[in-house]
Amino acid sequence: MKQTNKYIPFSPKEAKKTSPLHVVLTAWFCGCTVGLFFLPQIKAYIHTADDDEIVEVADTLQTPPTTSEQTSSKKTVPLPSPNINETTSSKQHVLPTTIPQRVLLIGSSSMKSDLGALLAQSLRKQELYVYRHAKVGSGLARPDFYNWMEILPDLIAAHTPDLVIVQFIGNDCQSLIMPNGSLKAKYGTEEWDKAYEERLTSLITLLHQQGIRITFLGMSNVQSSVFRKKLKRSNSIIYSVASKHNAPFISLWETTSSTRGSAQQQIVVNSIPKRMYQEDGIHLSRAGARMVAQDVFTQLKQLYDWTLP
Amino acid sequence: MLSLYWLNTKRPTVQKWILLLSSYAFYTVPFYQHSGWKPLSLLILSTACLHLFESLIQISAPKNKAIALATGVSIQLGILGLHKYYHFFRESTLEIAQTLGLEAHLPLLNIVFPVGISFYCFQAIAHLVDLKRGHTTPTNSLLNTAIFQAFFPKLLLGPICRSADLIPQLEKPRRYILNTHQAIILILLGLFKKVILATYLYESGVSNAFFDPESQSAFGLWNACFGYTAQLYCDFSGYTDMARGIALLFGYTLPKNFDSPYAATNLGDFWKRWHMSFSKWLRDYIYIPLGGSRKSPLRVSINLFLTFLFCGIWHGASWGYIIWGGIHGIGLALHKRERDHMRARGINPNAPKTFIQNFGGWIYMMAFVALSRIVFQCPDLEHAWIYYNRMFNPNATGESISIMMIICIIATLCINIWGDKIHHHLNAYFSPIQSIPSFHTILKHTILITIILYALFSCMPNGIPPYLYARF
Repeated sequence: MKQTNKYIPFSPKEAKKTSPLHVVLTAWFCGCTVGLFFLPQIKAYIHTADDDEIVEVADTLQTPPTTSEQTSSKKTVPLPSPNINETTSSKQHVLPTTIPQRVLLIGSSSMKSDLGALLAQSLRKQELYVYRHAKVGSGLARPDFYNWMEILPDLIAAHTPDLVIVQFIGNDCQSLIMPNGSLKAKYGTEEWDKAYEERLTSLITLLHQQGIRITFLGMSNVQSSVFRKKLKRSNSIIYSVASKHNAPFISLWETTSSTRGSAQQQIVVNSIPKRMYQEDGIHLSRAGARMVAQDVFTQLKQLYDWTLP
Repeated sequence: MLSLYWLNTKRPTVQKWILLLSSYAFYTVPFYQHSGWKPLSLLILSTACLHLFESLIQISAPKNKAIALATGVSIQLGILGLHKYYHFFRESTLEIAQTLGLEAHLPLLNIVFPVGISFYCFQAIAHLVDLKRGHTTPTNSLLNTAIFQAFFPKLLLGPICRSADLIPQLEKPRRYILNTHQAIILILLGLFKKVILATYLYESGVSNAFFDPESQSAFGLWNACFGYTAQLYCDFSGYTDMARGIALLFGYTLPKNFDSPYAATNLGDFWKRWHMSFSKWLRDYIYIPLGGSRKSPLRVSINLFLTFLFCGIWHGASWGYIIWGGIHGIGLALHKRERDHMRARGINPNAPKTFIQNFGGWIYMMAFVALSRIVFQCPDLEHAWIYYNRMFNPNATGESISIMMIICIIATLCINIWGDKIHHHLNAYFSPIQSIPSFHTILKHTILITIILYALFSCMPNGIPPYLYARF
């Protein structure tokens, strides 16, 4: 409290002591702080400034199948191969046929909060070892920010999973950056699609080489129409790469979409309509996450023959 | 923007417009993608209503002032209530109606929750009440009212400013940067708390424990419980320090919000040091109007309980916050009764205590604060119940203690215990900047500050988590 008394609102005595050097020092201090603090964001912004325009162009060039087009009924999982006993992927990696007992959940904000936590709880009820590692804002697009390809081997060594469940997409709708911060590919271009496919393939290969199975969780629908378009595109790229490598892809799109294709606004729990999304219109509300986690878990159970109720 | 602001020292109105427009931009740009113009519209609505009712209170006959005040306060509460509590009210009402076998229909509205709404609405209420009580002067113009509400350093997370503090500053032109060294110290300390301590605590898995307590061992849960307590302090006080520092760069002073709360040795002392601007708001506009301490012991206890129940509700629309508020209300009521008993026995409760007594009091206070925050932070009561159960179950297995978390908790406690000394030394070191500095002084400090800033940003992990108090 004594300190506050020193901050007199306006003191002419202090003012007399002020010199132009204060202004210079202050301006320099602010510039330095802002510069250092926002440097990564500024870098990323320079790379992604015109992403929105590019995606519009790219959409006209290439129209990847949406998950709703890929699935015939609303809650069907678009699995490349529902038979998990198949032991080889397209790259000839031998995968085990046993029922997975150790599961690693990785991803970004959704995995860190309700959805990941509820999914982990459901899996733990199957008497599985479950470890969840999530980094908000991360994905495969920005290894300069968080390099999953470097972190994953350590996680595998520490937790020896036989199944890795991945959800990234939300933060990957941006230009691809190299670990050293340089630009790899601008978002929305064909080059981006190819580079992103390569990154996904590397991730799958890293796991398959060690006999670890991988399952992708798609991204849920969102309220912003611009972002929805981007997500649909990324979802379909992941689906196609997963298909090539015999990795299951669980879509959350249908569960979270209305009949008109926009994001579902509400969900009925015990006859009471509740909000599906949080205020940001991207992350699921508690009730929404509970429903989606239950849906994902049911599909995982079918996939991996977990038998406990 | 700062340069533009200080280039117009001879044109105070231009300076104010720069400040106002920057504040509005600061409030709109980061949230535009999710919320559009709605948060800004609400802020402008709240400001316009404040200015209107401020004028009405001034010009009304004495008997009508209360009506103007009640209407003005109701509008601010209405704005806050609709945007912060509607969903909770709706879902709770429907659940209660369903339990009673009744039919209720409340529409699901697409309502945006604007960041900072609790802070600026409470500030507006305080201003109207103070004006009616004659404790403050009115703002002379709509521009001043708008800056009073929207001044960007304190817009998102406070501190909740009293008009008696801020309005006189708005009336005088800002011609000089005051306390440059203080501003730099505050910003550096704030950055250290937020980008280093709070971020590492977040990264070391504090939130995992609350979302998924079953993944943690008993030790892990104890660790996370104190880790969250430390994180909340570093996050919020870090923001406040930076806000005060930035305000000083614009020539304004904001009140202190934290005074080493984890160095308190009892719960009453803790609440005098934690989120001080809000604690004082509760005291002046809830506790004292309820009768304060001048009633019977039972009534005083009820007043404290109700005040803290309100404090819980202010934090958000969930049963967890309400229960947390209730627990603190009961804790403070018991603390007050104990002090009254001491006085009745002729013992001065404020008399200096032995080290052992102080240490015992500190342990009790920390345990109370940390354990009560489990119900505050868990996403629902079911998780809180699991958390408490597993904490006291030594057989609970799972993730265990994190060394990084323990280091950050210890650092937070050190800041609380020796914070004043650290601040004093920094102040003494940097104070030569405030006098007319020589080139040598400027060069020396410039190099030092560069090294500190570089060290801070090099040590911080990638990605700064959002402010915890932004959701309140």
